[in-house]
Amino acid sequence: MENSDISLGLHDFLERMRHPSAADFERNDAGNYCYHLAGGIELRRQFSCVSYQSFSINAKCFIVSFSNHAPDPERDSALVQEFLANMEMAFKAHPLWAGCSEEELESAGEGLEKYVMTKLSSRVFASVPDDVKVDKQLSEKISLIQQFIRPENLDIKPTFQNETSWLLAQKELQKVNLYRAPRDKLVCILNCCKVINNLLFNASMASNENPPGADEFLPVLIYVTIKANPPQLHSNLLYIQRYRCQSRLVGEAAYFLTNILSAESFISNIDAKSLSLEESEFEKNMELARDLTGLSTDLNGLSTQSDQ
Amino acid sequence: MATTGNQNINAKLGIQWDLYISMSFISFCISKFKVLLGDVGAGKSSLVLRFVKGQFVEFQESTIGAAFFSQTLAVNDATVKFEIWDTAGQERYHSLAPMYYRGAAAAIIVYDISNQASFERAKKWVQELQAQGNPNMVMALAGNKADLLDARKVTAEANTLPKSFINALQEAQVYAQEYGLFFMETSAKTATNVNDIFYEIEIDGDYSGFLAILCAAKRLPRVQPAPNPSG
Repeated sequence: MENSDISLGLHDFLERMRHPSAADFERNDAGNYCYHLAGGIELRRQFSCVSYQSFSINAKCFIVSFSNHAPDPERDSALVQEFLANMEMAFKAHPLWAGCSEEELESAGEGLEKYVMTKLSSRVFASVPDDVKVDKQLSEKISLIQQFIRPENLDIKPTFQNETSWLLAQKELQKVNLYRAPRDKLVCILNCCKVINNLLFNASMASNENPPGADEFLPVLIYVTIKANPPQLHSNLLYIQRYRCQSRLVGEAAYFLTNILSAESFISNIDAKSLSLEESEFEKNMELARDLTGLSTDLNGLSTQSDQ
Repeated sequence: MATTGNQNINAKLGIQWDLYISMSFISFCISKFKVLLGDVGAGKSSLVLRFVKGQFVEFQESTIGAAFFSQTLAVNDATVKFEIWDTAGQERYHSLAPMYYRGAAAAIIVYDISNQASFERAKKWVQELQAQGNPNMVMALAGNKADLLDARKVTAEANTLPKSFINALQEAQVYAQEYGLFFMETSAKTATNVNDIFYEIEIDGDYSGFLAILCAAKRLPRVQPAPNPSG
């Protein structure tokens, strides 16, 4: 899963759109969707009101329609998902993709998703104040915990402890904000998980341990996430869940996304008990970390969050 | 491809599929997943690895990770895709489990037969799934490390295991019956019943349109015990 695959998909998609037959797209009912968001809520499909030059104008129209209303993640997500699903159906029916393999159709769908979401990301990513607040709190909590957490606190067996190699996994996770498309962000997470999996396998082979499963994987993922403190983790995860095409958010990708979501959930609820520390020891560590990181001013906000 | 694939699978499973081969199906795909729960050290991942390695590695589209497995089976013209999601068994991660079992079609709860505490944990999982899981979820209880039992039976005088050991197995059977669970003693080490626990649940665990056909398959007698190539 290279990010470049998808750039190719986007390139191919845009190339096809330049083909003269793409202009026929508006005559194909299935393909000619335009979402007008008059009033912000109502969604209308207008098949023949305007003659669109090409399919890409159709996508552009969808993107423009987004700029007319305030962000509402639930509705925005539903609109994008419906648009992507309808467009993919339209690809299948259109002569432009006639005789294409499943892979090429898949690639066209990926290209469309990347095109639309790259344009929309500035509007829909971390667009709600609540999400931004959670990002800030989570990041501050992680920056404290990363000062004192040890692999033992998370039940990582000595055989599997290898903090130097975990740096690689951390780097993959930290790349998540370099990309704007949901798939590219997801790939960063999957790459991080793959690095961890490989390290666990190698460690189990070297020490004749049982093959590693979730008992070994999840603790390391949590540890790596804490050490990496990836930017805007909460918003990035929400963004992937909302805007990654649902039909492609399955299988292995869904499993590893569930893992990082559960890592996020575990981290945001971390307390003395969940790290097998004494209450006093945990508090002392947090206090020391606050002094170290200079986050003492946010003491109140943080303790409220950890109480939740 | 479907035909040769079937023959291969038939050979591997030792199940007679002939009865319904004459029926025709349009190609469709059932996607579902099962979740694997159990205490640390109960042998969840070994059990899956034994299953995947023993049966499927040479087949199409198999993804093998440390904690995630997926497999596509061609059955006549239909494709059944299933996934196995492993979950962390440590107590501190217990509260995260619903994120994994939400939506799962089936659950295999694994415990270690030589460890009474892991059986108690397994019972807690059953209660939790019955209270909070998908109501159509099919559950199976796998008493793993059955090779230890064999060892005990053979060398009765070298009794290093607790006296309650056999009683615990009977207790598990009674418990499984009471709660309507599939129950099997498995051994990832010797591969005993490993295929069966996955297939029983695969075949019966389906609640879609494919149900009738696969249930029919389940009722067919096994021609021979499923072969268990080691590795």
